[in-house]
Amino acid sequence: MTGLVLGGILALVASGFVLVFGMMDIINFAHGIFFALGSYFAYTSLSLIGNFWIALLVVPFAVGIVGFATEYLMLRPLAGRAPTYSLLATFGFTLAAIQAIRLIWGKTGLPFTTPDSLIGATDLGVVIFPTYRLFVIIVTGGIIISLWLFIEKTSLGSIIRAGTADSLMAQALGINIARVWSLVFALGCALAGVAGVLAAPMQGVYAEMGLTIIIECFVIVVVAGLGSIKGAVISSLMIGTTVSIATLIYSPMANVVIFLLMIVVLLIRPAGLFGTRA
Amino acid sequence: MNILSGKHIRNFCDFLSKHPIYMLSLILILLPFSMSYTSLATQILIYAIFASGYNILFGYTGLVSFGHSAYFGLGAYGMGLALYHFNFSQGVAFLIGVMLATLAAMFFGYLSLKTRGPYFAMITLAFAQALYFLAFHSYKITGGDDGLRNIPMLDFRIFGISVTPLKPLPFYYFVLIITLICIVVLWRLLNSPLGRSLASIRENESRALACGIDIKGVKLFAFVISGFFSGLAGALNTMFHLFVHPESLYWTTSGHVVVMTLLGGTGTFFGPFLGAGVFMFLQDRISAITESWQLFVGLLFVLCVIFFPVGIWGSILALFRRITLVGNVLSSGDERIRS
Amino acid sequence: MGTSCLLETKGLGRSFEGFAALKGLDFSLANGEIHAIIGPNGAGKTTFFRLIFGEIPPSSGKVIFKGKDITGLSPWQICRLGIGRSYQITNIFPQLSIHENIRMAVQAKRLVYNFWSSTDSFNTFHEKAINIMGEIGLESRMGEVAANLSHGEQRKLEIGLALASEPELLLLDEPTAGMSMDETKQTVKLIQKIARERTLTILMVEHKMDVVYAIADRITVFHQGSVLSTGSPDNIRNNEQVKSVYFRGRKEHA
Repeated sequence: MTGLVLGGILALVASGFVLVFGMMDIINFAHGIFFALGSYFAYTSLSLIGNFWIALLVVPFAVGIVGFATEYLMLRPLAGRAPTYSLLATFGFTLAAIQAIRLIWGKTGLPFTTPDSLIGATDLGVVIFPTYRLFVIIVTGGIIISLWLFIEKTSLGSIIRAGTADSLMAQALGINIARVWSLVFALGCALAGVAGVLAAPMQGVYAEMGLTIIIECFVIVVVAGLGSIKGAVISSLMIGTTVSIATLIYSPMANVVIFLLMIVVLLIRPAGLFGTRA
Repeated sequence: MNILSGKHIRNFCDFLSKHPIYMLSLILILLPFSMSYTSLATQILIYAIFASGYNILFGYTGLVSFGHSAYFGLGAYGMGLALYHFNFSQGVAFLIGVMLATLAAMFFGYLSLKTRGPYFAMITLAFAQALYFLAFHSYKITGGDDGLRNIPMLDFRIFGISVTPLKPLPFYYFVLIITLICIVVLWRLLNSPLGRSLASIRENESRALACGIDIKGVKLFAFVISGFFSGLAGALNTMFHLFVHPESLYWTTSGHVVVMTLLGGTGTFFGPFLGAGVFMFLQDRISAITESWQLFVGLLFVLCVIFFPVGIWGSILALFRRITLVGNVLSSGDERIRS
Repeated sequence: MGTSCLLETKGLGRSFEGFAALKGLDFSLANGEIHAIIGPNGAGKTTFFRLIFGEIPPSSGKVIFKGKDITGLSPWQICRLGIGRSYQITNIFPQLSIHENIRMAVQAKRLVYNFWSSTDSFNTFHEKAINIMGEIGLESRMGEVAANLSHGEQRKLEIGLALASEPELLLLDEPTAGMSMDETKQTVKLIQKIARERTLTILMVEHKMDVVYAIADRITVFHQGSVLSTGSPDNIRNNEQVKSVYFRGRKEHA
């Protein structure tokens, strides 16, 4: 079940990433930074306000705003160019951002305690499971379902889907693509931000988490194949479960498992398990 | 006599364009005397080789790798471990380092090239991080986070001069000789039919395929050569510092080489040299003032990508192309390889 | 002028996720002929080309070139066996000069794996490149960067690239796409000249009927993934079935 916890977090991050890529053809290497910002903002707001729940609601917005600014300042100028440019730019951004995080919050990892109301364990009948982790599963599940509903059922969602399929056409239909893009990007970052808040009590808060998560995100995307959010979510759960099992067996091996999985997928099905886009 | 008369410029540029390598060699021979300390110049040479190797894949073939620290680090660790644990001679250890990097490039290259574009970048990064992780946690073998220290030192005498890292200037020229050999090899390689076909892959892969170029094979070749030179730079680095740290495998090192290449001018022969020089110079100056050099690197990177994608040398070439008189001659020297 | 068959396909078919773009096609191309393939959009013409050239694998059937089964080979291998391809959507090396474009294609067939000698020292490549540029009429512009050429010039370069590998079979995919009347006439002359001066078999896809009737020895009409009819230009011109399917509602171009 721990796999679901990890998988859920990864699913949130991966969804945000695939959303941005699908819509805007942007490989946001810095996506992990927004995850990290989620944790760090949560830490700061916690030390200021002291209420986890407020943090959970507010931080994603804050991260979304940072995302919005990033898209506007850094990615908009690169709009016409090949995706390589956005990849490179966001890579550089990550280099700078991790250092900036260190500057602002210090070099050492920060402690983050589980909110009081969620400490302890819940008896689920079959198994006794840490309450906080249960909470994470519920929240991530809820968000993913909401996201799915939003994209599939609402009119804004259909615009997003239209934009994903053919941005030129959507523009021709009079949809203000630029505004939608900014929104989508901010949404993607906010998703990563939420994941960051949720992950903080479980794995701590440290500057490098931005990089670690983006690599995991990419492994997920390689395994799933870039195409649908659905594929990314399923793949995240798979990987989350695999890593959890591996951690149980032999902890340091957990990271290696991810790479091995990736190598296997590359050898057997380079397009990914659910790949739809080249 | 007007030194700046058209004829003189033309003759001078004529010479340069016919023998650009000599020009570069001249600059490099004189380099230590323009630096505040020689070891900066030595470091520049090492990174220039690294960046040149990277440029083969990134600039010439058009493949973005974020994991080239793997080969630099393997070259470094290969040599370091061979010296430290097995007491091989310097020459043998050097070869081991380079071979290790090259073999890894074959393996990782083969796997990575099954992917395209951004996937490729990420896979290369993932491989490098895996190696980093391995080195970081293998305390007994690699010294872990402390790094591999007390590595046996190069020490030989030639023509009465002793060459050892302890003596900056002779060591610089030792490294320079190796660098010049690399330059010659790279020049011939990039001018050869195989080297030219790299550009065709970068320009239009499907057309290159349709013209009869085995793009899978050529890409792998580019990857391996790129790994070879990166490993060579890594081994030199070990010789220089007598110390290997996991950071040489870390993604920031990959990031640095990308910046250097981008800054200098991707896809140009001299770009990486210029980029390495400027980068190391900036690092030297800025690190003296602040600890947040990385922040600066990242910002520089982003600015380069947005405003300056052809790099310094690329911009100079473009500028010269406009000043036709000088341009046709000077730029044609580099164009021979570039185009 | 042989009667032997240069290219043959047997039962060649290709489906995309259930949709049969090409259905069990039998086709044969005689040595030395200029053969045009026409048909409405979606009839499977470009898919046919892509299958022959190895760009996509067939779902069924095989392709035989000079008696050898080339099904499943990669485009670069097929190019080296003697088939040249030009594309409907211009596919050139944009940032290289015309000269570099052609020379790249010329040398690609011979020796790519030479990594030591200077390219400039290979005079034969240089000469061949000059010849081809002369043939396509771009010799005077050879230093020009390909991206700066006009559409018509780029289409010429496109044909030049296909010629550069010294093919026995030339696959031309809508060579006059997007061209004005004048440019089209020039291209027709060029193709006729090439066919005359080299011993070349040409298979081309075309939409412009005047071009087809001017050049082709034989015409094949594709329809919904199968061959509807094959024959001489006269046969096709007068074939009622072809007219009803292909020219349905359209006026035939004189």
